[in-house]
Amino acid sequence: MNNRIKILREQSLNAVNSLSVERAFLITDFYKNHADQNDSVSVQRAKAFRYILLNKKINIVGDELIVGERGPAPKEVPTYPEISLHSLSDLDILNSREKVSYRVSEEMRLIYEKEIIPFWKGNSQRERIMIAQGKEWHQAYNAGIFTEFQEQRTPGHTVAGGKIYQKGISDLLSENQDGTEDGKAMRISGEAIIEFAGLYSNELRKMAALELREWRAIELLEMAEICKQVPAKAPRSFHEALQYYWFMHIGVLTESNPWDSFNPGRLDQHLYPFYKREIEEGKLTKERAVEILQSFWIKFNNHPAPSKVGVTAEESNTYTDFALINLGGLTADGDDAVNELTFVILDVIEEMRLLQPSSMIQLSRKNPDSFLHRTIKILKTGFGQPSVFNTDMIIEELLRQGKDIVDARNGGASGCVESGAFGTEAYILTGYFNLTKVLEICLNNGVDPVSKKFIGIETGAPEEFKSFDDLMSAYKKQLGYFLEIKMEGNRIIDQLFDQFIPVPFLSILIDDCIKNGKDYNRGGARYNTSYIQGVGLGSVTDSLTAIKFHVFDKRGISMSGLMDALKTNFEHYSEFRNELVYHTPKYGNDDDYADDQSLEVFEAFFSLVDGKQAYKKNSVFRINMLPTTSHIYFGKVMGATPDGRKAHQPLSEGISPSQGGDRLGPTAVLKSASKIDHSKTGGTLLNQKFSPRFFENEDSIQKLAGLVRSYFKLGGHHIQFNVVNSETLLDAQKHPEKYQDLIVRVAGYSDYFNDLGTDLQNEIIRRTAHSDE
Amino acid sequence: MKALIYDIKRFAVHDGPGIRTTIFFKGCPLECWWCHNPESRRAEIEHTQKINKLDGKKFTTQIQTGKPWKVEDLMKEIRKEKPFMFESGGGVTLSGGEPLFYPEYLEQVLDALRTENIHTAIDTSGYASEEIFTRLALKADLFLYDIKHMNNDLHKKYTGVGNITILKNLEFLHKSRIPVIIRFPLIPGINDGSNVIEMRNYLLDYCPEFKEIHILPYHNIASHKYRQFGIENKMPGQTEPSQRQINDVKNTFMESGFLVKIGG
Repeated sequence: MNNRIKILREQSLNAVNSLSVERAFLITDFYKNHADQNDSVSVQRAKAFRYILLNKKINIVGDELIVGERGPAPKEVPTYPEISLHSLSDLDILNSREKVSYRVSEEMRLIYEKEIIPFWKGNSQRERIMIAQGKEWHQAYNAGIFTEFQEQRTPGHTVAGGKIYQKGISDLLSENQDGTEDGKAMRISGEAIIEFAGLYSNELRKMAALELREWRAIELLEMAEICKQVPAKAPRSFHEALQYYWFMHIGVLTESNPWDSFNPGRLDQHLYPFYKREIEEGKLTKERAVEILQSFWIKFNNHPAPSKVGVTAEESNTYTDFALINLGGLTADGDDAVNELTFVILDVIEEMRLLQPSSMIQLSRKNPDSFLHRTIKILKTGFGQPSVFNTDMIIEELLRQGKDIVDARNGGASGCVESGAFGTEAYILTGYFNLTKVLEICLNNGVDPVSKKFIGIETGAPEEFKSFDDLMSAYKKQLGYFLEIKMEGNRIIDQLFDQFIPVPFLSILIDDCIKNGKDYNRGGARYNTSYIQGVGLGSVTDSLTAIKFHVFDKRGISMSGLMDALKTNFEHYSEFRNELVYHTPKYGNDDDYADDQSLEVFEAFFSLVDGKQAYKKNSVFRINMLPTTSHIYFGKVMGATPDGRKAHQPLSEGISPSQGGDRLGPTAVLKSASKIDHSKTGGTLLNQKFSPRFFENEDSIQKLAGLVRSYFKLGGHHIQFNVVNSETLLDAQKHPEKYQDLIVRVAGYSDYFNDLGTDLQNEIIRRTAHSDE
Repeated sequence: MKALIYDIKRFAVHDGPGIRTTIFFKGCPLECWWCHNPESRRAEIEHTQKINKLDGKKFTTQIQTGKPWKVEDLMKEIRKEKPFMFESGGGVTLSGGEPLFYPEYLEQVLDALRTENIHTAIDTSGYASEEIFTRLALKADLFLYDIKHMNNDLHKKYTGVGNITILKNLEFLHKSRIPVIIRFPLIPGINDGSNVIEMRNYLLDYCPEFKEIHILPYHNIASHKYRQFGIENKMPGQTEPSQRQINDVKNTFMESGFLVKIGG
């Protein structure tokens, strides 16, 4: 990387994560002093959006090539008081906590105390959601049966498609249905972003006049021209295309704080026509393209995730905002989409080595091996990116849901592993669901043994189960009961977003909101899906298998004996626990005796959710299998489990086996993991750890490629590799100062090892040690 | 028909091309001083104890090493890995112990694997009668063939058998154009130095088509297994070769046009 990029990268890495009061101040000012009460909610939101954009600080960092920040400066993160209102104590915690802290200035604290909190108290979306939910929901939520994504962030979780590379915002708005309030709001928002770009254009021109270095002065004038062209009109060049997207990014993230961070999706596909043409015409060199891309990469790294309120650091707490760049895959016609720019971007990923944006490859059977081999060489360097996805399976999943083949091929994965039709789908992640905790409730006849409260339904005392089938049918009843509570809760939440938080700017970008004159949060998108993410498949499978094996088949222990062992956290049952840990069939070993339970739980979860009506008329619920870091939190809220796991320890993550449960190596894991039908999900997550020693031999790349291809032929959705040895991690725990750049794969994303909580660090060390053997 | 097998390793990546399943037969006619899996030596089921720790307590578990496998059961186990074998250009490696110790059984397994189009490799010391060896050799796709020492007397001293049959069988493979990867366990003070030169010259003169050699540097990893199985460890204090020594051996072969790999 050249000097300019080196400096920008250093600046980004060294910038202190802090909260900015700017947005909170402006949106409060707007609703207090400038909002017209006669306007519809959508139009008010659009005008608020415009007010923020036109009054926020214009900031151009160093010699960057892509401009625009969400906050006033890199790593200054705005807050969203209309969605989730930070209390003073939230601000103090964020300012002072050891991990993932955000600096909060005295001034911000004061403005919050005097202006923001008094105005929004009782009127934030989070408060509305909490008040609207019933007793059953609160009980289940507090017990850790499920989490709720939308309580602090808006339903975003969508990805930009290809249309902005062909049309300017003005062109898109010309198709707008001004007849609806949502349509009007989209026009106001679209025009606002053009005005916002104009402010940047003016500022760049002013800077050019004062710039002493001639080359930079010329560059600043070019950039001023770019900001005049985009986003108003269609981009004409590679540089304009990236700047256009970046204005969209800033717009979406200024309007609200959607899960997960908006992102450009199929970047190599969108940019390739510009790249190819300009290279051929001699207007662009590969070096310049790389420089612009690197500057673009740094912009993502300048944007840590919005900070949370109230909750602890357990559930998905990270600076990572889950923007996931997709590379490769198939074209709209179904051909191999890998091109020379794909490899250029892979080079950029390897060289930048940044946490954000995250990156992945879409691997189809039609893609060349060179693409996969290049990726494995980057993985070998051990920072967990890019992860590897099966395009053919993603398309199959989207087709099963009834999507058009072209929309499916234009899709990919976002966030951690979530499949979606890019640019045409509102796919909402509603929260993690604790499949293992439901078994705990079932084994206690509806009572949560941790809180001693009755929160489920009566399905019979476990001692009275005559057969393993009796247990399974009781489990399925409890599962159905809690899933209904979860889904009903989300219908209520979606209704509140429909009513209070339309997102007109995001609606411009997702088809067919403009055509339908209907907001993204009101069902305007072509496809609408609400996902529930199942967590703990390995743990619940092993627990059920252990009961089947020891209580019903071998009859070595009675059900009441087992219950006593669990109640006492195996205190007088260490021999039995040894049996459970070392001598009981487990998921992940290609052994049907255990894997049959994973299939049965998966199928039950699927049939209780898939296709159920969500709030929006054109929206249904579906499942996927990913944990982020919730398996730690979900383990914390649980006592001991029949798989030998002690109380409060983490659950298994994604569809990976329980930590240490797989004993026959990666092929057996992949076989077990592929027994469930991935096409019934919207994504599954499988983690495989390799010690660096595995990669010492050149042949290993070929063999790993064979492993990935085989898993995908078996129908796997995603696989990721962690390449790091446990000694390194242990040393990093002891001397965090020496490992500030150590990035590890967590679960569907990478994070700085130092930023992880000790529990999560320990878990990663445990799993890594296992792979060293 | 059954044979004693003590381990079936899936995702074996050091025993030939691609992703392989390696079958470890129990029973070996050799007694190499440096043997790193002494549990494979006796052709009988052995019971030992294993201690594992949990929550600071020790638990003793009875371990059975060696289990008689029927051919059809073994094939069932192998089939589980077919997707990986075919995708990666892998297959099955028959190792041990000494797979040629079970010639009739081995023949049936090789035939079954060939019927299913699965690539086969035999990892062997080459110590088998001419009649058995020539019959089985034509049924395998690849040999991983140990050359332990060029000197017949020293070979006999360190492994219990001489090398005349072994080298003759190797020459048969060469004559029959069966692919061979030479495996050379490098043990300082025992088969390094002039033995390396002698081996290189032998290969160049007698088996010039065999151009791939894997150097397996001695690792002192098996001493606990010698204790566990009550077998005398004849070289306790044996040093491991230095990186420099490994590189010297590597260069000796590379200079003569060999493709050399360290490890499998």
